Amino acid sequence: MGRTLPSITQAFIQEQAAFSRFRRALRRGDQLALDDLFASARQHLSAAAYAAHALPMETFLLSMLLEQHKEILRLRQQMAELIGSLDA
Amino acid sequence: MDALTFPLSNRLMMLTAPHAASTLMLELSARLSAVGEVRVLDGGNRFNVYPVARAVRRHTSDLTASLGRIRLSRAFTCYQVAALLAETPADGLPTLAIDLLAAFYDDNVRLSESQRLLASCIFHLKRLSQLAPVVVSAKLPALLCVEKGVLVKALQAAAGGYWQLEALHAPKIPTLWKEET
Repeated sequence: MGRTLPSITQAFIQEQAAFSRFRRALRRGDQLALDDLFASARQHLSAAAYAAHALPMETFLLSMLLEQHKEILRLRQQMAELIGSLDA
Repeated sequence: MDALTFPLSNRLMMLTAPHAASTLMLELSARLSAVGEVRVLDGGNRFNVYPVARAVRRHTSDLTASLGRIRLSRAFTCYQVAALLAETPADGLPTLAIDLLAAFYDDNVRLSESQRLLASCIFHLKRLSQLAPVVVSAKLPALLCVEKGVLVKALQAAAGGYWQLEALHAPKIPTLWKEET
């Protein structure tokens, strides 16, 4: 008996491959940014597997958003620290 | 092909194609599940729910309900295919049998045994097709078991409609230079 559903990693690779033409049409800088987005989604593959969503791309997009939001929070904190140090 | 993309008439339809037309059959299951219950019998482990979910989303926003209307059964041997079909009640649900003959091409099963089991399957497919449309997809046998091509012919003879899809070859790219012969 074989596997009846592709693993989340296979699904991720398939989704990434589906955007290969889109990636090819982007500028080099944008290609690197897109690669970063997919790399950030890859960090949450185990959570995506646990979620077992029927549309895994939605989970991948949310993972990308999650990493983006973490980055924003980190930058906000750094900015608050910088402003604090300037005020002091 | 319209009869295949949304089958409405109660008859047994068959199509042969590379990879048993699994993409088309998955799309068809999504299309049918958007309007009602559908029974899917997977004989070659080809039912990948991710493309089905994407296709369902194109037809309806109620993904969970639509996926819940797909009754999926998988068979991994030809004996299981025959048993599944024999146990399936003729309750008027459309039935899709994806890659029905995959297990029948097993070289450990004798041709006579495959034929006997397929005859039973055809009987039950016809029984189901009296009340609802039944679409069966199959791929042609590999060169190693080419003698099992008779199974395709038997199924084809029993079907009320038959389609054969062929893979399109990549077009030859014209070159500016004369090709060497």
